[in-house]
Amino acid sequence: MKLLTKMMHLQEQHGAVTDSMLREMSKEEGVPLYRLEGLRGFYPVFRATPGRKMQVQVCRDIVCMMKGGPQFCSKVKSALSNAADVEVEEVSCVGRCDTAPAATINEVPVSGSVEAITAYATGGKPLPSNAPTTTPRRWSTDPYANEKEHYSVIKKFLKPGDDRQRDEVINILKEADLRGLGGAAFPTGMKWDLTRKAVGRPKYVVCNADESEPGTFKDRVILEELPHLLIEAMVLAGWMIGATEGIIYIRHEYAKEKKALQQAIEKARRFGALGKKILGSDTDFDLQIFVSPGGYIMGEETALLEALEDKRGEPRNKPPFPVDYGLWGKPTLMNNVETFAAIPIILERGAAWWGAQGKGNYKGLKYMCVSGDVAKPGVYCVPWGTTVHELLTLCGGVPDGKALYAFSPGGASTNFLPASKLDTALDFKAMQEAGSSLGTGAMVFMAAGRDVLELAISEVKFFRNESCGKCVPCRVGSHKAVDLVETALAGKPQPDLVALLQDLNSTLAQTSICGLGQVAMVPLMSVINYFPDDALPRLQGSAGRRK
Amino acid sequence: MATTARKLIKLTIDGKPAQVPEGTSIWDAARNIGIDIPVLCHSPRMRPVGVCRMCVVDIGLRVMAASCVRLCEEGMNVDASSAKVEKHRKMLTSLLLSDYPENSARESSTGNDQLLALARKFAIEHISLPDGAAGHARGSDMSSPVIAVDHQACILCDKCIRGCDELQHNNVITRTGKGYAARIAFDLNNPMGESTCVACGECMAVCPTGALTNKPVTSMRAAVGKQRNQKRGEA
Amino acid sequence: MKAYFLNDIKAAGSSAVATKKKPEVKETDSLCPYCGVGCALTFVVDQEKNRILYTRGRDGAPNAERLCVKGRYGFDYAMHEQRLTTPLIRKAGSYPKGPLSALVKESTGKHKPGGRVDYNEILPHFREAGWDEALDLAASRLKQIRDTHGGGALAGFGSAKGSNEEAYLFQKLVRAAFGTNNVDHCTRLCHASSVAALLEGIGSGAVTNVVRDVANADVAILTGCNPTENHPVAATFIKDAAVNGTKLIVINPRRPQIADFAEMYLRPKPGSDVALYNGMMNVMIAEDLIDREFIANRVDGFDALKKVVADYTPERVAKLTGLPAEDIIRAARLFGSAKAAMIFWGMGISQHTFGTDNARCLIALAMITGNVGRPGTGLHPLRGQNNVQGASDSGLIPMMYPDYQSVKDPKIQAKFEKYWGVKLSPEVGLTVTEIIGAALKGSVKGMYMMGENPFLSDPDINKVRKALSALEFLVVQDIFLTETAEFADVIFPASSFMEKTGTYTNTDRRVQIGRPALKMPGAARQDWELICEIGNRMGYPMKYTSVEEVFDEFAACTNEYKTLSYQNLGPYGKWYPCPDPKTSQGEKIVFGDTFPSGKAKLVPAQVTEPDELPTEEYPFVLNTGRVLEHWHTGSMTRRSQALDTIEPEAFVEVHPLDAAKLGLQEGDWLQVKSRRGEITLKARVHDRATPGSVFIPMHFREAAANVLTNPAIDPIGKIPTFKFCAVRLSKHL
Repeated sequence: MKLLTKMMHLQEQHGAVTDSMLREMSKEEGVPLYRLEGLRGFYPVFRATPGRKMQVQVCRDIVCMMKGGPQFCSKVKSALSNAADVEVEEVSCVGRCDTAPAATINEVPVSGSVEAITAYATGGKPLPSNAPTTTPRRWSTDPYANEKEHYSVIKKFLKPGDDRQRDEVINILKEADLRGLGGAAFPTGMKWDLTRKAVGRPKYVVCNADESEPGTFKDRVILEELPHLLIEAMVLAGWMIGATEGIIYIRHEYAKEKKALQQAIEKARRFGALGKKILGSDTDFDLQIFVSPGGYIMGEETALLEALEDKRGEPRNKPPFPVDYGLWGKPTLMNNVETFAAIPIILERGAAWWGAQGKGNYKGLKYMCVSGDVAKPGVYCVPWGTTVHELLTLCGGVPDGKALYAFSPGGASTNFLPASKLDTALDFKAMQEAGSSLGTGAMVFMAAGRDVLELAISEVKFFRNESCGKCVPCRVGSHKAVDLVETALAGKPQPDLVALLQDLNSTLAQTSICGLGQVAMVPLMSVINYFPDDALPRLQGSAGRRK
Repeated sequence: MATTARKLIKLTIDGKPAQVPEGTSIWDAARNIGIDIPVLCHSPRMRPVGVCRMCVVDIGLRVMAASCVRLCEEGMNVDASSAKVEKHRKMLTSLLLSDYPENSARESSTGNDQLLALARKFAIEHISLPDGAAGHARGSDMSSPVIAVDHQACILCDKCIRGCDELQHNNVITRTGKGYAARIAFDLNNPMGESTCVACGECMAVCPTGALTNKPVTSMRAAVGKQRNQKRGEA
Repeated sequence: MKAYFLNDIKAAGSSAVATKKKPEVKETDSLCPYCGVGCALTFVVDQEKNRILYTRGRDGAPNAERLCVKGRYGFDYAMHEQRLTTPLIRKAGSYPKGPLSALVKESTGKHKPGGRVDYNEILPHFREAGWDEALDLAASRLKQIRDTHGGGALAGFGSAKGSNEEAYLFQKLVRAAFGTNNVDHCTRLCHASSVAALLEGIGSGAVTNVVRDVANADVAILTGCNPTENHPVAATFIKDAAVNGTKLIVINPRRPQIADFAEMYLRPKPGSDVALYNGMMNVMIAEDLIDREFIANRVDGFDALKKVVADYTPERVAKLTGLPAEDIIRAARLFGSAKAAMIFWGMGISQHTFGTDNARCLIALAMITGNVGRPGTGLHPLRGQNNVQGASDSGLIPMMYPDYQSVKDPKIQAKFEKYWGVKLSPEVGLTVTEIIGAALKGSVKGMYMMGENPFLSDPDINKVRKALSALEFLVVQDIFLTETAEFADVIFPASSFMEKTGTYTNTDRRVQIGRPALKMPGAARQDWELICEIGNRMGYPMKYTSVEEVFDEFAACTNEYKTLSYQNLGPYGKWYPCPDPKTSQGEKIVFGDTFPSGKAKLVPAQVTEPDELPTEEYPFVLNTGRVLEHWHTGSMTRRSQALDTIEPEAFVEVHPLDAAKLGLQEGDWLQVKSRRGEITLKARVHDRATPGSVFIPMHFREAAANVLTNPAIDPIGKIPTFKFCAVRLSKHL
């Protein structure tokens, strides 16, 4: 963390991390030059030479594509091409899909038309505030009526020396069937138990707050409005596994949310919920926030650990898993924001209560982030088992009276499904049986008239753009896949393209080191499989080619 | 130094039984029983990194495992050579070949270009993937007096990095950039000849492709029976 | 879309290589000719053109396929067009003898880089001759001097670059045919003091543990050495160990790059080494960080040592060395509490007038902590030349026969008189440094030099120039015209490392076979054959049918080599001692039970002042040494295209503080003057230097460091003080 923090500080102060700065840093820190170049060249926040005063970064991914219209990014670029001191860059999803089309200007999120963004960038319009909300909403997974009640669960469980309390917590989590909500769906109780039993000292607790998949912004809301739940869960995690240090790894695009989190941490310290002898127990635990230097891949758990170790964020080969070999090779408990945030209420009210919150046999409450062709995009906390249709209705349905054509239920890595699957329950297994995956709970609705092939390709491009480059199938394969499809869309599909794409997809899925490569072509393949009329004519070059 | 005996593990590779000490990789276990799983980024002299994925084997899981980094487990059933596995190796080779320059400096000098050797092994005659080598876009670097760098031929196997950093500890080479644009770099992305490289040649020696090769070292002929004076910067 | 000349491959799995005009290559397994690491490599040769195309590292015991820039790229000197190809005899008109080239005549002034002797200046003074004429001339003149003035008027300089067989034959020639023990080689300039101390202390000058054993050390001292530049591949293994937890204590007034991997780096005042080590031992004894059992069972003289070091308190040592007392204490504790600790050293220890004392201190450090004879411990004086260990083992030294058997011992003398069938001299011979003095005086009148270039490698070049000019007869046998050759009467064109078969013993005591990859150019001949020719023509028969026969004869008269043969050495060699070559690689670690001399003998040392301290007139300390890319006098490396391109010129390294005081910038011309001479060269400003001290590499004839150096020698080792003399700097306008 030391080197990256230093470099980010230099970047912030000087607008660049220059060669001479790195030479000096190399001497001060006793690290060879190549290490610093490796970091500077990998992480998007770093530049070797300062840029212009106004840095406009426009999102190029699926929801902003849908909302901004064709060529949105290029239009912003041309509109600002003559503006002095303004630089426009296309970036990957910034996590503000509910206010698409989204951009950031010097890290401050803005939204709106080309004209609006131009006005912000040229000073015609003052930038919106980047301060966290002072009026967070009430959410159903918050067991506390007011601030004074915060951290009661810690008080309940952190009794001195009693290991049976830990056993009890594990049992509750297992009974509640809480699963990892960052996309992997690994049973949380089991993960906590394994890390508790893992051999090695010191252990660490890490929160993966790097949500960066297009369409995903639920953690953003939890960070801003429910940070105390996250903090409490991490203290419990530390107590569970015997760790005294916790780190929250947050994406740099969430500056506002980071401020909220920082304020909550300071409050917690003053309250005695962080630090030494927490709330009268014999547990020591404290938290620090580490801001990511950028890149979607940093949300991959081992890439995240690599960054914390001041290396390029390239995923490790697994096994071993972080539970046994995590930060600095020691057992590390890593969970997603939403997963952590669910734990206090589960422990407060019990597994039975949690189970009763779901529909029918489903257990618990889920934060779904909804965007795309929907009247009221945003984050919704709904019972597990709610159907996609019910969710759509909750969000005000498809605007302008259009019919729904397709939806992507769980983020860029999940299969597009046709409207016929609307009655699928929001649940990992149910969504899998329907032919897709619940993933991160990022629901993107697509109305009739949308070019689903193009939208699917934008997801593949996202993965290509965000590939770390470590392994051959993902680095080269994702690039070639996009190349092949774009050539086809330009009117020159090569023979046997679909078969080739299937083979390529198979190799990426089977041989990539990490999840990114494994799913990079998935949306495209799902459109080929479930929306053949949209895909095949253009990819196969047969008669009836659509423009 | 006394070595504590490690537990022995039994597994099957391509139907053949193998028995190895705990902590052995599948690749090593296979080699011990005469099965040579193809590799590009792996060398027994170095720490395995599993980035080229050529050594993938099927162990019955959701995805394939890179045998150079994956450790043997009791009762494992490894498919290292079936058509299914070879199909992926062919695809990986084709992916790399599609970006490869027409002429490999390694092939034309020492004749042991390992990527081309795999191409021959898999009898790949046509690559249906888009050509990424047009215009030699990735460039080359001839600044070192002894080593020619052809970035177009680089497959980012990391062997040069491991050779320089972990064998010779000269600590010059890194990857820089990201994704498809990733490439190797020297110091702060300086030309090799202007970096802290001490020309030990380890990177060239371990490079499997034409990315790092020897420049022709000598242009001086062995003058048999002749003596000529060399006027070169004499005082 | 694309096919790669695969169309001529018929079947999958075919190993046919699609090539157009690649030459027919032959691969020869051999060794690197340069340093004492002795990397095993393969030469890949275009036989038709008689050219080495490239090298490849082999998995030898010292190097595990690793090479450095010299082994990897420095082989092309052997194919340089300036190779000597015919015998040369000095023309009558070129007497009396003196230097022939401008540079050798006059060392001062600003000179452009000029790596090679200008053949235009030298050759006109010699005529080409046939071998018989040249050999007869040499042999007859040497014989004449011997018969007129006695064997003691002759001397021979052998080569630490030559093979064991060549070294053995050379010393046999000098002893048996010349009738004197005046035979020596450049070890005199290298580890002579280390070896003297080791022979005195434990009865053996060879290393006790191999380099790669450092992996087993908890702590390793690296003192007076710069392994990343001078033993690069060995340094990679030291760096491996450091990365894996071995704590390095690096001690050197000039900061070596390996200090980047060190737990502690100490920068003592130049010349204060004895004080530092005595100080460390003071602390270790005071805090009982010693191995009492080892001392009781295996060491003599502890009480005397204890008494001497009692005076070297940390506070006193801090004043003497300029190091903080707490650093001295910390280093002592680090070394003293290690379970296994190893000591590496180099010229910074040995090349002083108190080099023997320095080495005695290191030996004491190891002995009082019991750090010998186990994995990860030991004494390792890093051997410079590829065969300096072997050359010494072969008896190429004035006081010992092969295998360190003393010439003063009548029993040994009798043994060799019998073995060689001739009467031998019982008087210890003169060393390299003493021979130069004797030549000046006129008591040594004739010399045979093989593969040595004392003009550039000995201290005080101006004195050497006079000495060489004074010789009545000088035979120089080499592969290029060197500066020394300018003073020759006869020059023999010899074989390069790549053109001969021979065994070489590296710093680890590893005996490996080097094999020929090239054919000799022109009429050049094998060194070993030429030595025999001289012997034969001087009336002492030396007839062998092969190099292997020579090895067998040499091995048989030693203890250490007697179990070895070409057959059991094979492609990768063995360590000596090798009790059972059939089953073992040899002993990596020695002296686990006892020393050759029985118990170790501790010889305490007192700190003394260097011979020539800085004064107001000569305020800087001059340190000399090597750079990574070059070898010694540059005759090989400055003819290597790659090496010469990377590092073409001489320089003097100055600390930024001193540079500022002088108003000096990088690249400025600087005149450096000592009481013996002056040179002019470019400045490099770097903070690895010590303030008050400058560094000049020895390789560059146009600015030869040894113009300046002090010929004062260590009284026991007889090694000159290359690392310390006083100089003055002035900006050259």
